Amino acid sequence: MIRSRQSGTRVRGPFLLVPLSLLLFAGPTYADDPKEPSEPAEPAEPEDRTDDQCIECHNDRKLLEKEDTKKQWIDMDVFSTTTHGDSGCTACHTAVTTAHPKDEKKVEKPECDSCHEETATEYKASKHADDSECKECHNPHDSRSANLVTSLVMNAMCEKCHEKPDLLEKHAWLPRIDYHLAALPCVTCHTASPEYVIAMYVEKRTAGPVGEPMKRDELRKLVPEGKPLASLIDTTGDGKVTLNELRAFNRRAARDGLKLQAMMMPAEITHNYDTLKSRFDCTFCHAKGPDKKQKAFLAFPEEDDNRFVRVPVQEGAILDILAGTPDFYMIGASATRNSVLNLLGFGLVGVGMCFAGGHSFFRLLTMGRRRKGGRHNG
Amino acid sequence: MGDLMNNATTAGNVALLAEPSRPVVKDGRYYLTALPIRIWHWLNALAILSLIVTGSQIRYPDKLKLLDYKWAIRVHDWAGIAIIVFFFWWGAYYGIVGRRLFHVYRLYVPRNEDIWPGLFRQARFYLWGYFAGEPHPYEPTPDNKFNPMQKVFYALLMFVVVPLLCVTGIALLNVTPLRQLLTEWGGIKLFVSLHYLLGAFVVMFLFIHIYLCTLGQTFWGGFTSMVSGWGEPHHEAEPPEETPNAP
Repeated sequence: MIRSRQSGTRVRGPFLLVPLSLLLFAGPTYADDPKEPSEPAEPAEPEDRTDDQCIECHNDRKLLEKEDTKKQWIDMDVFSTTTHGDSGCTACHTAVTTAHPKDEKKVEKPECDSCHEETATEYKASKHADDSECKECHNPHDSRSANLVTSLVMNAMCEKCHEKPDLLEKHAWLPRIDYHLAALPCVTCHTASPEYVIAMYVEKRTAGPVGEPMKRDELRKLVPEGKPLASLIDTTGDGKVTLNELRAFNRRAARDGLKLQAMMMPAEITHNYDTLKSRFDCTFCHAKGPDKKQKAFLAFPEEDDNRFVRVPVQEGAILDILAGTPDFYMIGASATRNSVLNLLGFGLVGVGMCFAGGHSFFRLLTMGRRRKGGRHNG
Repeated sequence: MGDLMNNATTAGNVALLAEPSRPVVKDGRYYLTALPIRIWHWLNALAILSLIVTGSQIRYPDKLKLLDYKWAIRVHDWAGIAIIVFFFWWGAYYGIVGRRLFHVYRLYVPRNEDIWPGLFRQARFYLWGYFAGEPHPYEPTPDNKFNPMQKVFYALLMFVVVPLLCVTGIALLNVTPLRQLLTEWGGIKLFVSLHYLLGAFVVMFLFIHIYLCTLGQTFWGGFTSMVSGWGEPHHEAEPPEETPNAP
C-alpha cells in the first residue's frame, strides 16, 4: 500500500467516477468543492527506491511491535553514522525498486564480497568461514571501522558464540587471564596483524575493571563549548598528547572522578583468526626493548558515542610509570621505562653489596691482627 | 607440658620440637632456636630466593632470559603465597607458644636501650671494633637472641616490609576484582612501585644478613646455629650454668 505523501490518505480508483460523471451529465459544476487528491500515476517500469523512501518505512518504530517485522527495523540514528550509511541503502540493496514491497517478493540479501573482495577471500580461508557468515558477526547496518570502536564492541561480536567459561578454560595457560580478557579484544591475538596499538578512553573512576568509556554528552560538560573533546587532555590543541599533558591530566583526574582505561587493539584488522606465534611469547608485549615503541592513542567520542576519534600520544609516554597513567601498567614494559625507580631499587641493592664487599675487603686486610675467638652474634 | 619442661632430659628432647620454658645450656652453648622456627627460617629463605629470581625476570624481561616468563609469574605467585603462609606460621608460633613461655615473642621488639646506645654500639663494632679485634658487644641468650641491630632490622622486616610486600602482592594477584580499590589508592603503578622497592630492600638486607652471619667465631658458625639450634660457645666472665642432662 502506498501512502500519499501530501495527505497520507488512501486514494483508490472508484473516486475517479465523480469528476467523470460531472462531465457526462453537464450538471452544475462545483468548482469550489475541494477535490480528493489523486494518486500519482504509477510509472510504467519500476524505478530504484531512494534512501528517503527506504527510511520512511524501515525507520518506523511500528515495525518493532510485531515479531515478524522486527528484523526489518533499521536504527537510522546509528546507520547514518556508518560508512554503509554514507553509501546509501541501494548501494548494497541494488535489486530494490518501487515495486517493493507491494510485489511481496523477498528482497535478496546483498553479497558482501561484491565490495569487500579481499576481506571475503581472507575470511573464506579462515576457520570461521565454515561456521558463520559475514552477517553473523557483523550487523551491516551498524558496521564501523576498527579504529573507531572500543574492545568492548569488538568482543561483543566474539561473545555471540564464544562463551566466557569456555574462554577461561581454553586460556588457562595465560597468567591473569581475567585481566587479559578484559583489556584485550580477542582480535589482538587472534589476528594476522603483527603489531598492536594501545588505545585509551576516558572513563569514570567508578567504572570498574574495564568499564564503558564516558558518553559524549558527559564529556561535553567538561570541555568548553566549541572545543573538541580531545582538549580535555590535549590542552595545547596541536593534535598530539605529550607526556606532560598526560601527567597534568592524571593529576586532575582523581579530583574530577575520571580515569584512563587502556585497551590493546590490533594495528590492522584482518579476518584470519589464527594466533600469531609472537602472542604466545609474553615478552612480545611485556618488554621494553628498542622495537617496542608502544604506539598509543587517546580516543574520544567526538561526533557520537559510536565513533571514537583517535589522537596520537607521544611514543612511550603511556607506559611511563610515574607520569603516564596510574592504572595502565604492563609488567616488564612500564617498569623499566622509569629510571628514577630503577635508580632507587638498584641503589638499595648496591648498598647491601657494597657493605658485604667492602667489609670483606677490610676483613681480609686485618685478618692477621685480629684476636682469635672474638665473640660474635650474627 | 610444664612438668615435662622441668626435666632436663625430656626438656632436651622436647626442645627439639618446641621452645624450652627455661634456658638450656650445654658446653657453654645455649639452645637458642627451636625447630619450628628453624624450619620456618629455611623455608622462608628458599621462598625469598625464588621470589628474587623470578621477580627480577618479571621486571626485566628484555635484560634477563633466565626463565620462561609464564613460569616466572607462576613461581612468583606461589612463592608469594607461601611467604604469607609462613608469616602466619611465624606469628602463630611466637604469639601463642612464645607468650606462654618466657615471652619469647618480645625478641623482635626493640627497647629504648636497643635504639640508643644499642644501635650505635653495634654499628661501631661492625664498622671499626671488629677490625680492631674487639670482642662482640652482645652475646645471644634464649630470651635475648638478637643484638640491637638485628632487632631493629628484623622488626622492620617482619612488621613492616614483609607485611607490605604481602599486601601489595595480594593486590597484584587480584588486579581485576580489586580494580576499583587499586584505582582509589593511586593505581596499579603505586602497588607495583612499592612492591619493587620493598623487594629491593629485602635484597639489600639479604646481602648484609648472609655476610654478617659469617662474622661468628667460625665462618660457618652462624649457619650451623640455624640448623642445629645451638648457639656458639659463650665467653663471658661468668659462663652460664649448665643444664643437667642436656642432650
